Amino acid sequence: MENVDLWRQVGFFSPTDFKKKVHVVGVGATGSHIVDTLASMGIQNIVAYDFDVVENHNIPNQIYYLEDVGKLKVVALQQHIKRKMGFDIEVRNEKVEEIKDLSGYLFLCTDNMDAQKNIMLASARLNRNVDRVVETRMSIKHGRVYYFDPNNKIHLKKWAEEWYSNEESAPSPCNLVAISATTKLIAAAAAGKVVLENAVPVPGVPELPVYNRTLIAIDGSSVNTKWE
Amino acid sequence: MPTGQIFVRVGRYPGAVQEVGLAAGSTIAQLLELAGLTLGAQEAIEINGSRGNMQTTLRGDESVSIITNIKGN
Repeated sequence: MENVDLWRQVGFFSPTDFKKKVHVVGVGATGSHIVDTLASMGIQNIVAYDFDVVENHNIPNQIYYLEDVGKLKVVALQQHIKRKMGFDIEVRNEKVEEIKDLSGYLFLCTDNMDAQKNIMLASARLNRNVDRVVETRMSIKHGRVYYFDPNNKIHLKKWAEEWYSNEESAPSPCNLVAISATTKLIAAAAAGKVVLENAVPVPGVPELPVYNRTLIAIDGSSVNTKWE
Repeated sequence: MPTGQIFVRVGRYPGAVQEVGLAAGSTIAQLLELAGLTLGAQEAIEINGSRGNMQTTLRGDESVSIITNIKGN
């Protein structure tokens, strides 16, 4: 069997030097693409969580194929990564409320604002084993990516200020929910922050700041904010 | 009491941004009225990337955005 050759990236990001675990809760639109992006860069220590099955309407903006319809998303995702990269990621078929063995990076990619908050508070807040929380929110024309340290009280305060409940969220009409272009941009921005923060400095190339909040629009334009 | 005219950028994100001139010390409510923008029930106000509200006063050169409370994934 052939092995994937990562030589084109290792001068910038070396997956063998990245020792952290990555937990991705919700592997629908942004979550499935985040797992695909991180795994494609050689990160193997990934745990994916979801309790849903693949449906036909998931195919356009998620990583799944028509042949996956009816499968558990985590199973289809595991098979996709195995087929593409040749390694297994860990998957958990569950509706997450709390992650007891959380460490490293936590991606919150559910479609439920209350769940995002509850998982963060129960599992990541002031947990020294957790380096960063990455939270995504998506609409058809734009998205948001939050990237913060759950042990930094300023970050926790800023994130809390920008959280709103499900009831305070704007409902999406059923034909204005998601589109592939926006989904992939949000996922790339979320995964890119982890890569950027763990990248090898390139001589002569200025380092980019890692922003705590990125608003990204369907045309790729972004507005970035740093919290400290 | 602040005096004179100030200029503030305002728009709904993502979308066009307009620059509006108004009296120093004006509120965001006055800015939105001048700009012809209304704040929806599931939208929030941001001023220079941080949360604001309709009573926030303006000094000039701020960027004010109306941003929807999105939640999908």
